[in-house]
Amino acid sequence: MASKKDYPSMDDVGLFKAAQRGDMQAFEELIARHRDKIYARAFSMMRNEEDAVDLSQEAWVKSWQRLKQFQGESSFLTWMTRIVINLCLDKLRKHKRERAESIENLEEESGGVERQMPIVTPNPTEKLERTELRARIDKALNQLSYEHRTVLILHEFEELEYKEIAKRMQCSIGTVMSRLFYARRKMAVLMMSYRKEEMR
Amino acid sequence: MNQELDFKLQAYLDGELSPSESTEVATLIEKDSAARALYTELQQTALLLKGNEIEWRLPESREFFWSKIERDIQRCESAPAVSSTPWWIAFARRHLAAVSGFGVATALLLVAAFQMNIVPSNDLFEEIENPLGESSAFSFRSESQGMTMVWISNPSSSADEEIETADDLLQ
Repeated sequence: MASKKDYPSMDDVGLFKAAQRGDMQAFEELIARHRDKIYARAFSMMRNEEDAVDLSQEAWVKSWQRLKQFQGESSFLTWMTRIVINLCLDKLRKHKRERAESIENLEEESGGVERQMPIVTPNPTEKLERTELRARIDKALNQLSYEHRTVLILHEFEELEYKEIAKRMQCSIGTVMSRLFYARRKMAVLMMSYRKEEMR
Repeated sequence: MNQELDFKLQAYLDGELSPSESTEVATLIEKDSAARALYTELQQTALLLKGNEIEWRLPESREFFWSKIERDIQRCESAPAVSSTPWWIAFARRHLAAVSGFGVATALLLVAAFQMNIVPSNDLFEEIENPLGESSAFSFRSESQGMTMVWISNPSSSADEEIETADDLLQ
């Protein structure tokens, strides 16, 4: 077994194989390496620090329990991200059951206000500091319903196909297309409105 | 444009259409300005988002976060594994647990009650019994024999015994 000082120099595959053999120090190194990314995904979906910490912690515990099931068909980080996404989706579904349907959800069926929105063209080459652009995107994401935000995250950031998103969100491909379409339109309008606010 | 066309434009952008459908939508974008404008908006929004997600950082130290995970793992691993208990024991555990619990609780209450003399026992009945409560007394005076007899009836004694006693006394 490698000594502790060797762990940081090992790659994910080596650490993962050691963890599969029960080496907890190797597993700890994997956590240290990827914990921010896993937390960031949980936070982007939940929009709540406490939930995000708890769910990312739960994801790591689950991954330890399922280490032997992972055959290396994707990267370790991709596998871990899928675990935390599933936990977040479960939690969001539970939240949704607990609260009344929002007006936004009702509008989704008919297209709501998004169908009436004029077409805008947010310019991705706009000279904004990257940090500022990211902050605006995050602010806009925060304005979306959780269904719209989730489908956008899974498609744009996780690069999942419609079919895979539908499977994970337990809905039809048609619903995914609809949610993604209106989420994008709303994002475009929000980004333009932030720009106008700044120009005033 | 209708909703179906809107979604087709988006599916074209995301590479989710068949080759024949893609050709059809590409032609539409080329000829129809409204379709082209909407397609551009969707495309620009997608481009804007790509790689521009805020990189949130876990607000806990490496050591603290790991200590919580390690504790959870150890707790899960030390939890008793599912045993191969025979079905009838499992059935009894599941269905009689509540009843047996109630039974034990009742028994304990009764024991405690007897200890504290809350529940009346036979001894207690005897202690509070008033032997004069239901007794009656008759007196008889015979002037000729110069004798007075008092006849006390005791409910614990039989009537026959009482009569015999009286007869004996009379004789």
